[in-house]
Amino acid sequence: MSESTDSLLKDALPPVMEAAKVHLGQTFTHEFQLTRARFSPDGKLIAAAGLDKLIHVWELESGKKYTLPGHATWISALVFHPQGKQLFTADFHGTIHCWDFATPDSKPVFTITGADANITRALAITLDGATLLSGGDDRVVRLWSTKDGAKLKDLPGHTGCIFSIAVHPDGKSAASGDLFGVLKHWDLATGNCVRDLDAKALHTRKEEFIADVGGVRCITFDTTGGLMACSGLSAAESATFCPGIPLALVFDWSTGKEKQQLKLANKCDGPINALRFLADGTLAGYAENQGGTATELAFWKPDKAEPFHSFKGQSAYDLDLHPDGLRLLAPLFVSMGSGGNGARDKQKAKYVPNSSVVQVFNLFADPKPAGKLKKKS
Amino acid sequence: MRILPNPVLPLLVAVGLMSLVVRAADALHVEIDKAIAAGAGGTLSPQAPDAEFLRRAFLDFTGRIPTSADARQFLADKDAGKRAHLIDQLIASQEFPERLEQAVTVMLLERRSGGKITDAKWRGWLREQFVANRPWNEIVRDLLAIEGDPTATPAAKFILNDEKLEPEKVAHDVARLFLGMNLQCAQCHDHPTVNGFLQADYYGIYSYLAQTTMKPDKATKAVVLSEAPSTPQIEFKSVFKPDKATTAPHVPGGNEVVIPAFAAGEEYEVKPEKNGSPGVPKFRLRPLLARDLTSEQNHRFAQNSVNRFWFLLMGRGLVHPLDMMHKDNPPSHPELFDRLANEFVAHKFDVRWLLREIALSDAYQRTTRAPEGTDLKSVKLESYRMANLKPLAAEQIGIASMVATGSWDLLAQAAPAEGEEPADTTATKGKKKKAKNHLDLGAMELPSTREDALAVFVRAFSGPVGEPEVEFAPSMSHSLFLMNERMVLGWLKPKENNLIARLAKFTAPAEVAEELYLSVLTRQPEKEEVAEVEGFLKKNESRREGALGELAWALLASAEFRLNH
Amino acid sequence: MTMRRFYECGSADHLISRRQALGTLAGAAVGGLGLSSLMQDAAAAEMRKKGKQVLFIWLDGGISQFESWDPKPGSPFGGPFRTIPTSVPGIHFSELVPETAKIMHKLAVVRSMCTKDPNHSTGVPRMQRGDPANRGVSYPYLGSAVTKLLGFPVNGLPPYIWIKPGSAGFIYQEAGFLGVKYGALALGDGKPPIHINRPESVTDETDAARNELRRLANARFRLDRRDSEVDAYEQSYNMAMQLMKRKELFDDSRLPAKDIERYGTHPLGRHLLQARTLLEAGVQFVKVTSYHWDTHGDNFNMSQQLIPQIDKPFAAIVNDLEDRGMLDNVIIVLMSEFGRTPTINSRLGRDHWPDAWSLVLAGAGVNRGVVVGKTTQDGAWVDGEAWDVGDLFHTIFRALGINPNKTHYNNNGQPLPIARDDCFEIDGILA
Repeated sequence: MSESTDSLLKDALPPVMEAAKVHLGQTFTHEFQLTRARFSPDGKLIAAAGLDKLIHVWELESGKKYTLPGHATWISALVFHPQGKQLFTADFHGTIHCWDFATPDSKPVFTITGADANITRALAITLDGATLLSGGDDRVVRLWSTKDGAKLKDLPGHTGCIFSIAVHPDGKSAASGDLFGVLKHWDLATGNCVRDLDAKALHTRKEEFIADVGGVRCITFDTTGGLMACSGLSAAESATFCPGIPLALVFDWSTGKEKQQLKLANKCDGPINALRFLADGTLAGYAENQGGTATELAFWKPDKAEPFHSFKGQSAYDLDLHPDGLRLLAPLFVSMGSGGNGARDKQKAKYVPNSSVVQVFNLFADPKPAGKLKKKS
Repeated sequence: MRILPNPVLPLLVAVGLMSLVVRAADALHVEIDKAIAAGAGGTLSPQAPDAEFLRRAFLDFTGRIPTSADARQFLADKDAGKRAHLIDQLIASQEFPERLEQAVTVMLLERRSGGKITDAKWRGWLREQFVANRPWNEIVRDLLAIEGDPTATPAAKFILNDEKLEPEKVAHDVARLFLGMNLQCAQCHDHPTVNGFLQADYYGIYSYLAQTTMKPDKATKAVVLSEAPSTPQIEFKSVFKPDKATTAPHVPGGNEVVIPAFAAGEEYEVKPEKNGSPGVPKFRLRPLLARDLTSEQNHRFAQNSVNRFWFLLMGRGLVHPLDMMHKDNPPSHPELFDRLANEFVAHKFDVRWLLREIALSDAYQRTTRAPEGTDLKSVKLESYRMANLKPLAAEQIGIASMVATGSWDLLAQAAPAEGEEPADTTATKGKKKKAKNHLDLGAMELPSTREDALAVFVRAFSGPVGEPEVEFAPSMSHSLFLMNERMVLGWLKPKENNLIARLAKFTAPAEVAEELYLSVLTRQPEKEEVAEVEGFLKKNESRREGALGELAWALLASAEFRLNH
Repeated sequence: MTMRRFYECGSADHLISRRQALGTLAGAAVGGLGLSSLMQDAAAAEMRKKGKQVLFIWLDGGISQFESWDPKPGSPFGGPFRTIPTSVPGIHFSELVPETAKIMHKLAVVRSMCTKDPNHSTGVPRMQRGDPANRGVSYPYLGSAVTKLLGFPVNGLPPYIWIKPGSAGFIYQEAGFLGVKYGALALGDGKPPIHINRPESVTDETDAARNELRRLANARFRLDRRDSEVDAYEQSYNMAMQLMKRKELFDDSRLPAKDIERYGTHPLGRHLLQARTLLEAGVQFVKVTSYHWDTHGDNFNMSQQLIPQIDKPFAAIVNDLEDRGMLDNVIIVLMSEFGRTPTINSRLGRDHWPDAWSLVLAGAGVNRGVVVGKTTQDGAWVDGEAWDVGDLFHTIFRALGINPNKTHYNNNGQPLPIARDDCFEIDGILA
C-alpha cells in the first residue's frame, strides 16, 4: 500500500482542502447494503452498518476488516464516542448497543433494549461524550448515560417519528427533526424545547396520499454553530415511488430563520440523506436516486442554491467527515443486476441482494490523476 | 307506431338517382347507399319519418333538439328537398361549429382538464377552426406543432397534460385518436395478438416527441415547449426479446426521418442561455410529426379521420372499435371505407363536406325501427339495416333538456367570455366548482345561467376522465339525477312562457299532447298517447300543473329522449 | 398443477378477432347481440337461494408480502420488521399486522402465488378477470362474473357495488362481453350516489305516477327497435329507485362510534365499515379498493404507515361478519396484483414481484387457520407447488358452490369457460 493516500497524508505536508478537486479515495466493498458509515474520532477506522445487521470495521491504513456481532435487525444509526473507545449503534427494534469497537467480535459493553418503543432512527452524542441521545418512532428524544446506558431524560414533544438528531457545537443544545419537517431545539440542561424550527418543506402529504413522505433526514451544524443545515425530500409527488426534490435547508441558528434552500445540480428524485460542513464553510451533501441511477456528491456555498461543484456517484445514505477535514465517507448503493419488476425463473441463481461500497472521497487535488489510489478490501 | 316496408321507397330512390345521373362519378352519399345495400344481408328499413329525421339532424348538427315551433314548421313543409335544405341550414348555423367543437373536444381531451390553458380558451379556439371550416389535417397539425409558450396557443391543451408534456402519453394518444391504433401495450413489446401493432410503431411516434419538454425561459419568465437536439435513433427493448432494437422517427407505415448530424455547438438556431431561453435547435422533430402524421400520403390518418366522423353520425365506426384499425379487424365495408378516405383527402379534409355527404345518404336517414317481423337479434349493427341508436353526449342531454322544458330561453346567458378569458383559470374553475358544489352539497342556489346549468348536466352525465365516450352506459346516478335534481324539477313548474306554462293554457287534451310531444320528443303524439294524456289530466284535475309536470317529466326521462334515434 | 406461461396482456385493449370486429364487444353494450346467458340457469337459481356473497378487497399496487403475510426476518431480503406469532401455532406474520395475526385461525393464507404479469396496467385487469385465455372477447371482472353466475339478487339492490376513493360512476367496462348491466356501481369515497334523496315536492304518489308514465313511454319506444338500450336505461331507473328505498345504508350517523374506532377513520377503514353495512343489507358483491400500495420508494417507512390501514379494518370485518353469523355465507378475498421484490432498490423500496407473493382468503367454503404453500427461506421464490390467478378463480367459484368445469358462459352461442380450463382449485383451501 505504498502509494496510498493515507501515507501521502502522513508523510508529506497535508494537502490543501479543496472541495472542487474531489476525487475517489479508498473504496471498501461489501456484499450487502450498508446505510451508515462513520470515521472513528482518531481517523484510523471506519465503522459501517446497514441491512445485514453486523457492524463492519475497516482499518484505513491496513485495510484489515473485522465485524462486531451486531443486531437482530437493520441498523439505523451509528455514532462514535468523541474521545473514548466506544461506538454506539441503534436498530429498528429499539435496541442500542455500546461497543468497544477496537475488539473484533466483542460483545456489547452494555445494551439498551426497548429504547424508543420499537424503532430507533437517530443517535447523537454530546461533545463531552457523556450523553447519548436517541430518537425514533415513539417521538421522544431520550438522553442516556454513555457510561452504563442509564436513562437520564425524556424529551417529548414531537408529533412525528424522529429521523435525525444533532448536538450543537456549544454542547448546550441539540436539535431533532421529525417526519413532518418540524425541528426542535432542545436545551440539554433543562430538557426544555426552546423553539420549533420550520423545515416543513421536507414533508409532503398531498390530498390523495395515504401516507406521509419525507422527514428531516439529517441535521448538522457548521463548526461555529452559527449555521444549521438539514435535509431530506421535498415536493414528493407520490407516496409510492416517493419521487421529489432533494433539498437542503440552511438556517441561521441564532434567529432560527431559514436562510437558503439548496438543490442538487442534476436530476435526482430521492432525499438528501446526509450533510456535512467542511472547515471552509462549504456544505457537502449526498442523496439517493431511483433505479440505481447515479446522482452526485454536491458541494455548496451555504448562501447559493446551486452547488459550486458536483461529483457524480451512486446513491448514498450517509456522509461523514474525517477528523482531518480532508476526506468524506459515504456508503453507496451498488446494483447487483437483479433490479426491476419481476424475474424469470432462469435468473434464479443470479438473484442476489444489492450490495454497497463504503467510499472515501478525497477533498484535495489528486496527486496522481492518472493512477488509481483505491484500496480495495 | 309500427313501420311497414315502404313500397314507395324504391321509386323515390330511383328518382333521386336519376337526378344525379348528370354527374360523372356517383356522389359520395350515393356510394354510401350502394355499399350499404350490397352488404345488408336483409331488408333495409325505410326512411325515418320526418320527425325522427328532424330530431336526429338537429342533435347531430347543432347539439340541441328543435323547439316545437321548429318542429311544426319542418313537419308542415311540403318541399321534397326539405331534408337536404335542413342539413344545409344546420351546417350554416352558428350552432354547427359549437356542436363539432363539443364532440371533438370530448374525443380529444376525454374530459381531462386542468393546467393554465382554460377549457374556454381551448373550446373557443377549436370552435373557430370549425367556423372557418379549416381542413381537418391542418387542425391536427396545429395540435402537435406548437412551439414556445403553450399558454399563448390554446391548441396546446391537447399535448399538455396539466402543465406537463408526457411524450409517452402523447404518443399513445396520437396513435389512438389519429391513427386508430391502440398501442398501449406496445411500449413494452409488440402486441401479442394484433399483428399490426408493433413496438416499433409506438417508438416511431414517441421518438418525434422524446426531445420535447417544458422548460423555463428565464428571459420571458414563461415555461415553454422546448426541444433538445435530436438523437438519430431511439433504442427500445421488448420485455420479451433479449436484444435492443432501434428506430428513427416515423409514422406507422411511413418513412423514417433522417436526422442530420451537426458539429458540436452547431445544433442550435437559438443557443440556450443560462438566464435566457432554453434554446431552439435547428432541426426539430415535433413539427415533423405534425407534418408526417397529417400528410395526404398518410393513408391511415385519412382512414381514421373518416372513421371517426362516420361514427359521429352513424353511431358506429366502419372500423369498430375506433382504435382497433388493423388487418384482422377490417372495416365492415372495405371499398366504401377506402372511397371515403380517398375522397376526404381529395376534398382537402373538408369536414363540412364529409358530414354533409354522409347526412344526405339514405343510410343516415333510415329509421331506427325494424320492418315488422324482423328478427332483431339477428340484425348486425354494422349492416345499417336500421339506423343505430346513439347515446346523447352530456352536453346534448343538458341542452336538450333546457330546450324541451323551455328553460333555455329563461336562463340568462353568461357574459361573453369565451376566447377572452383572463389568464387565470378561476372563471372556468369557478364554474366547475359551482357545478360540483351544486351537485355534491345540494347547494340551495340553483344555476341561473345556461352555462352553469349545462355545467351541472355535464358533471352528472360525463364519463370518467380518460375514457372514450362511445357506448351507451346509463348509470343509476343519471336516473337519480333526473328523478331528484331540484334544478330539473324546477324547470317542470310553470314559469313565464316555458313548456308547462304553455301547456297550462290549453284546455283540449289533444292540444296539450301535441305541444308536449312536439316540444320534448319532436313529434306528434300517437292516438294512444293523446288518450293517455287525457286520462292522466282527468285523474288529476285538481292539480293540473303538477300533472303536466309529471307528463313532461316522463318523456324527459324516457329512453326516447335519452337516445338519438 | 400446470403453470401456464402465456404472455398475454389481457387488457381490454387487446381484443381483436373477427368476432369482435363483428360487434360482439360493442354489441354487448349497445345492441342486442352479446347478452349472454348461462347454460345452467337452474344452477343459478339454486345459488341465489343460498345467498352467497363476496367481499373482494383490492390493495392496488402490490402490498409487500415481506411486510405482511410472509415475513422473512432471517433473509437478507427480509427488511427490518419483526415477526409476531399468530393465533395459529407455527404461523407468523409481520409485526405490522397484529390484529390480523390474532385471527389467523379464521383465515386461509396462500403464500405460493406465482403469476407472470409484472405490470399494473395489464396485471390489474388480468388478475381481476382471472387471467382468462384469449378468446377474442373482453372477459368480465370478478364482480360482474359473480353477478352473472349468481344472478341478480331478489332484494333489488345493485348486485355489484364498488367502494373506492375518488370518483363515483357506473363502470360498465368491467362487465366485458356480459353486457352493460353487469357493471359495477362505484361509490366515490363510499358516498351514496348524489340525488339519493327525493325532494319533498315529489310525493310517493306523484313519483309512482310519473315513473309509470315513463315505463309506458319506453314500452312504446321499444317496439321494433333493439331493446338492449331501453333495457339498460330501464334498469338504471329500477336500481335507482331500489337504492332510494335503502338510503340508510349510507347514513354514517347510524354507525356506533365504537365500530368507527375499530375500523379506523382513514379511507380504507371507513370503506370496509361501509362494506359491512352493504353486506349486511344483502349486497351480493362488494369490492373495496385502496390505491397507492406500490411502494417502489421508501418501502419500509411507507409500509409502516400503510399496512396498519388494512390490518385493523380487515380483522374487524372478519370478526364482525362472524359475529353476525355471516362468515359461512360471505367469501372474502384480500389481494393485490402481485407482491414486492425481495431485492431492495436504491430508494430503499421494493419493486413488483409476481414470482412469489401472498393473498388471504376467508369465509364461505374456505378452510380456517391454514397456510397453503410456502416460499424459499430467503422469501424470493415459491418453494413447491405454485398457484396462479386462474387457480384462484376456480377456488372462489367452487367456494360459491359453482363448478367451473360444468358451467360456461354462453356468449351468443359461443361457450366460454368461467375460469381457465387449464387451472384447478388451490389445494387445501376449500373446506
